[in-house]
Amino acid sequence: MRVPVDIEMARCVACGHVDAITCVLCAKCLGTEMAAHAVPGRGRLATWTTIRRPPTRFCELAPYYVCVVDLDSGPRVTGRIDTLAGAKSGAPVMAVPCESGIRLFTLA
Amino acid sequence: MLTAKSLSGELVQTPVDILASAQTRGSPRIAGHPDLCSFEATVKAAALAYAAAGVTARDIDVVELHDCFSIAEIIDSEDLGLMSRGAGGAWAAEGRTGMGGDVVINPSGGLLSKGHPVGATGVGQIYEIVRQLRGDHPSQVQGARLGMTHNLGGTGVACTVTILGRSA
Repeated sequence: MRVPVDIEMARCVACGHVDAITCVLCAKCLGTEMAAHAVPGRGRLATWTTIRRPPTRFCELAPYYVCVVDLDSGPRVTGRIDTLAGAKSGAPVMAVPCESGIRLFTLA
Repeated sequence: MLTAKSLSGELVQTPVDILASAQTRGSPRIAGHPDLCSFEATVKAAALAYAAAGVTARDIDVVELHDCFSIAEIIDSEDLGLMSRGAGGAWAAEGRTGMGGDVVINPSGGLLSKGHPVGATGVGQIYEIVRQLRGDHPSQVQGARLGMTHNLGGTGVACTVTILGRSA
């Protein structure tokens, strides 16, 4: 069985709020101490779109697919999905390693 | 020209009143929006603007809204309360948002028609509504007395709704 890679997030030391991006300020309590927080890269596909006219630095990759995923641990995140074959809203997905550092998902 | 109402009569032949202007914020990220078919900032700004102007969505004759993409017009028009939730697409398809419709949306052609020059877009919307309310627009909405502009930044991170009225 494939194991998803973790997704790096930020967690407020004061109130425990987990934010989907690395940030310096807690959106919930305005606390200023945010610690690195990894969550399992497992969730469900909310929606997706196909990028056919990308910005210059991603030209080589087009067409590629951008998705929104609701992680089982709660937060909603954006990322890429490797293929749309079998994609449907609510489908289980998992995060897989990606060299470019971009959050990449595949259908689980 | 922007001036106090007490001076507008002598400076401008056909003054237009600023009845309300409200600015709000929302999440800067797509993933920060729990409902992908609504922008919280628009809903809040519209509520504030209607309350400040003492009008409702039904009173608005003409709107220039932020149709940065074709789907955005549908989302925005529903968020502004111009029709019930989920009815925006049908209203557009049936011509109810076109000239002579229930509420005229983007008679200028909107953002997609002008290439959305970020920054200038918002000023352009005000210009369009002012001319509509003065009654001298080349694409005139007949009898327009109350107009609204809606400007949304980024991925719904900031929104400004302004309501303008023809001076009595």
